[in-house]
Amino acid sequence: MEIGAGNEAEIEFLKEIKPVAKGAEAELWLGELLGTQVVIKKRVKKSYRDPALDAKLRATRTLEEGRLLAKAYLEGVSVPAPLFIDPQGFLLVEEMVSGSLLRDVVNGLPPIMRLVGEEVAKMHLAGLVHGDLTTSNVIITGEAKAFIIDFGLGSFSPELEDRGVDLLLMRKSLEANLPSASGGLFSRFFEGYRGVMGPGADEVLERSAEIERRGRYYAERAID
Amino acid sequence: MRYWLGIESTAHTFGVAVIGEDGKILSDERDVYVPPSGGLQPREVARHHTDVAPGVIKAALMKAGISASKVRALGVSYGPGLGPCLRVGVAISRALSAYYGWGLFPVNHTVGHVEISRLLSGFSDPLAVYVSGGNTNIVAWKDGRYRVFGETLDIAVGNLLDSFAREVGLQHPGGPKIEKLAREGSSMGLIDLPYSVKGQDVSFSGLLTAAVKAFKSGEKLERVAYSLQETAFAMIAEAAERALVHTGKDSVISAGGVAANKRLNEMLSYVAEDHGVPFFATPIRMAGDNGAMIAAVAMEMDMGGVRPSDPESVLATPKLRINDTDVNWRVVGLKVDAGVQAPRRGPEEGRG
Repeated sequence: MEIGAGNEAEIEFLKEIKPVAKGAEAELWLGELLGTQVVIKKRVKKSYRDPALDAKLRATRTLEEGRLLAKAYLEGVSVPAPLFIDPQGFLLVEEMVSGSLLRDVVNGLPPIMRLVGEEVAKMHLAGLVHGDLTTSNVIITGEAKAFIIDFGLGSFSPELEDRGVDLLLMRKSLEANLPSASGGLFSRFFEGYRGVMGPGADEVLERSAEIERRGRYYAERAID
Repeated sequence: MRYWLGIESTAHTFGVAVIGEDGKILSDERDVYVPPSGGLQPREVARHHTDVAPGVIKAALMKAGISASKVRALGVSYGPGLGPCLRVGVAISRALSAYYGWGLFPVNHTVGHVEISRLLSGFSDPLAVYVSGGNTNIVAWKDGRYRVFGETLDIAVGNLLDSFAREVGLQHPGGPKIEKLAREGSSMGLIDLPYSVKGQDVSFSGLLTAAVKAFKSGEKLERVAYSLQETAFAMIAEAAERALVHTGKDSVISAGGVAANKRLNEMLSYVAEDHGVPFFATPIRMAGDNGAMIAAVAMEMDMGGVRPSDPESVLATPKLRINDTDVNWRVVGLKVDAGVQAPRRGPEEGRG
């Protein structure tokens, strides 16, 4: 491979293989970076907004998501390693994590929830909140490790409120998955969460119940 | 033919309308209180409503060409809104219901806005972007109610526009004036203003402060108006897009007073187009507060098998939220026709 030979080198450096998903603000592609499989997140242009505003938002969000992933990764949270960030090209390239969505395996694997709780606590202790913590945003690998993915709605926040939203979203999403068993699944999740977080976890749980009582849309948005 | 009467008095508009079972709006009378200066004083508005009520009700029946005995039932907007204003409509409706023996249906005002837009659009189950002076809500129907999938965390978008207009010395109502200025300023380039979308929610207070500051520090009003509108509407469009992807609804509508803004509708139509679903912009006359939306919901509730309420139990409820009310009576396939009074906008305007 010749680095520095213009566009061709760039194409060689990062290869797009196929699109795998389309969200509200980004497309996910399966790709190859220096011979390894990667996921490429491309923030797409929105024709409805002013071009200057559009470019600014896509660049700052790409950078922010890269920073969140990097921080989580460096703090030892199981997240895909961020490999390449190009804010001007609106590209974020991350390690490809193979496995199944928590959504698809949780019912046959209740003990995994404890591990998920531990990862979420580590993430919170690292100063991050996820913002969209559903069973569709956790991958369980073949070695039974839990990886948290998609920090598109995440932020750097130590706020009880934001942590409470994460817990509420996870519980609501478990309920949508399997209403009858969700209580047991969430208790296991919280055991793991509290094990890492310590007694401060109770306050977060309490806040998540309070957020739910306020009756806002959180209850609705978790259901995928 | 069966007929329903609707009474609306939640804020500055006292409106009464008659709708027939074929979906035709036969009359749509309103008397709008205009404050001598400044904002609305609820008690002054309530006095206005009390004064004009008999005339507006009479006119609505006359224009519809029916006598009181032909009315099957009555709908009244019982919240959300300004307490003193709501109580005028509710008290009158309870009295009319008792006197004429009309069934009485309490109608959630916000549901009324969304439903009249849905019935005009002909869509069966859209995502609704409800934007007005007091509301910025992105709602969709789920499990028997309209649920909020995104909303403002502080002030409503209509309030943002009105407050900005007041700060820079534009006369009320500020929305249309800002829209015009923004068109003139569209070639001047965007000023960087705070853009705040949090999850599926939006926040406008920081944007208001920054826009006023930009104007006071010498920026041209047209350019600030353009930047303010672009930023605020892009936030709404983004929140709407997230809600659309999340809910998987098959269409999008805009409703409420700010839905009269062409740029907002243009943005929402692009969002819909990107996701391959149709968009409908509520015609201006039906976008603001009116009695027709209340009559239409009363009709739907009646057709949907809801029993009329005991008049004594219908109370003004200023803090009512859209998800407080059961909506398990929606009529699908009925298309409301606003007739000559509110022609549907052509595709060049509403892209509908």
